[in-house]
Amino acid sequence: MADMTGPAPDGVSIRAVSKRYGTFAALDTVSLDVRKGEFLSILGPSGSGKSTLLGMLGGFVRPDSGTLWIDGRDVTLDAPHKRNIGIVFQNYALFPHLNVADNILFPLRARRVPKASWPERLRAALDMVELSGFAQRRITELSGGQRQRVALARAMIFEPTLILMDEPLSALDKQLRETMQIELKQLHARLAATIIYVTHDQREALTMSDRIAVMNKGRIVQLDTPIGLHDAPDNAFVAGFIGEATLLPVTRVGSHFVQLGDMVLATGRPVPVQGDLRLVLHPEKLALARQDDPLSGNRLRGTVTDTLFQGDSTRLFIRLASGERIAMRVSENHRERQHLSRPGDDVTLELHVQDTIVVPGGPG
Amino acid sequence: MAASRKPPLRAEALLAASLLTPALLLVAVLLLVPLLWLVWQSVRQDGGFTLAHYARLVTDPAYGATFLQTFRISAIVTLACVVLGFPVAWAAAESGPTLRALILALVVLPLWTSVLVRAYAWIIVLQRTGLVNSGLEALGLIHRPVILVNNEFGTIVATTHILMPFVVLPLYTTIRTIPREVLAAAASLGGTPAFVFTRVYLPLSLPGLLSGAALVCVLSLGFYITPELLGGGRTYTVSMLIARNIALYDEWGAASSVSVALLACIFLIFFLAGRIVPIDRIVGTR
Repeated sequence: MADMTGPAPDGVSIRAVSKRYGTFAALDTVSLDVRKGEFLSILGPSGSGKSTLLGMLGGFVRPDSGTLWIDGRDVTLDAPHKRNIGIVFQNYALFPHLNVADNILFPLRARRVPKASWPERLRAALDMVELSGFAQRRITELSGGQRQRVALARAMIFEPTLILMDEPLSALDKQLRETMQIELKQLHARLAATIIYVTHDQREALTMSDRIAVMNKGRIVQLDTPIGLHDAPDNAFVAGFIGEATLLPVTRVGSHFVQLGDMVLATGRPVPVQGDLRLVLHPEKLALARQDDPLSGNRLRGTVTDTLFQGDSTRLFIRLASGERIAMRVSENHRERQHLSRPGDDVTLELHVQDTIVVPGGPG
Repeated sequence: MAASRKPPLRAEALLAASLLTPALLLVAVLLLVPLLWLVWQSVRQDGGFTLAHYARLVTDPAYGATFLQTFRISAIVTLACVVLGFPVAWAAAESGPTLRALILALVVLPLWTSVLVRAYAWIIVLQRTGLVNSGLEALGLIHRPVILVNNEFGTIVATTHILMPFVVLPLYTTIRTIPREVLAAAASLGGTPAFVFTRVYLPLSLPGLLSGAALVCVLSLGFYITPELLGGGRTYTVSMLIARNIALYDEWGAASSVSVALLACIFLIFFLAGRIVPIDRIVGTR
């Protein structure tokens, strides 16, 4: 990843940037290309370096080495106000002494945009975030979701080439967060701006992104589409971070075969030759096999230990014949309920060969 | 639920009231009673009611001149404290923990020294043969000592120094509450450092600046020892006027009316300060 070619003519190019704080490597030779107009999420646990990377793009953190390019221009040493980036901060960072209109107009004022264009642009910005009629409100009079919209409008009104978002929805409640996710996605489609979105919420990243860069310990451990990350994780870290997978140690017995206890499973992709291997089991990829079903995939034998009704589905906890405990999800409908198992039942689980994913263990 | 909760609440309120009582009594006895006594005295003469003391404030030009000088000194001191104090508060708020501790210590330490000592120290520094004059002479910048003390200038210098912490500390506290993200946002939105300072930093530090300035302004209006020692008889402030009315002329009525007038001025300043900048709304909630 570190030896990419020259910077792209447009979009964002990050080339081998590193940042150390004392002995702690916040970023370790990270390279990344974000295409123009792309919605790219940077996903990782806290301390993985995602905020450092964002701060670097914004101009608040200077890299120890490496370069940053925006639309073919080297911005590595540019001050924040020269970068033409709109940033939406986690706590919105609105100006408490200004009302909604003055907050949104701040970038135009700072850039000495002729005043004649302000009213029209303000109206368009307020319309875009559905806050028409709120122009004269004080920031303190707004709800969290409304503040978020003001921050969005403020970051977009000067039509920046790049918009950075630092966990912008994390302060909102679940319902509002999901509404805003859809709104952000729609806004992105309308604006055709490049968006880099930092989050630690894998579901949010999966929902919104064109591509996701998963970070761990200062490195990008996988860059892929949401489906790619979910269905074909490169390593145990990504597999464990995306979805609700259980990782089980397996041994390689062939180019497309692994052994779990006394069960041999076929895999869709070639099994890595070296290292600790882990089988990635997603609860939704498992199905209860029935006597009359034709054999169509790998079969796992186990005993139901617990069932957990969750409304739309029921979660079964199963102890496999090999001893490990795993979870699976059964849709809550009449057809499935007729066959629903109870604790103590012996069951056979089916896992499609294409869903049988084996990754090298250990981080990175 | 509500009924079962009431008794402890009432007990709590009772406890709070009883804890407050000594302080309230102290304020009442030591502040309100003397204050009322002051007002009473200012309208009494020879056992009867009079407004003569207040009339004199208006008619006697000497009184007006004294008030004018006092307010001029106060205004200059306030301005000097704000202009000199802002960089100090800014430096303390923006620097690392070690430097910050050092700056704050240097700001606070003089507060532990007696005003009298500091006033005399300034006399030593500013006098004809003092540090400043001999230093300037050694540098060849002046050939004769400049008169720096025993005048209004000396009074202003010493008063500014004594009152500086009162503007630095609230300002520092306010600056520290400005979220870093807000400043980062202002920069990312295209604000040059100067623009961010005037449009965001300064407005957000205004509550601290204003409360500090109001404090300095009011405190300097009542300064007595400093103008007495450093003014050399050339500065005549309201507090000196009050003292002289009592000590020299035994005119309690006149002294009281001047005190009440000064107090009214101070209330007016606080009121105006609160009106110009609605402090609680400026700080807002984030």
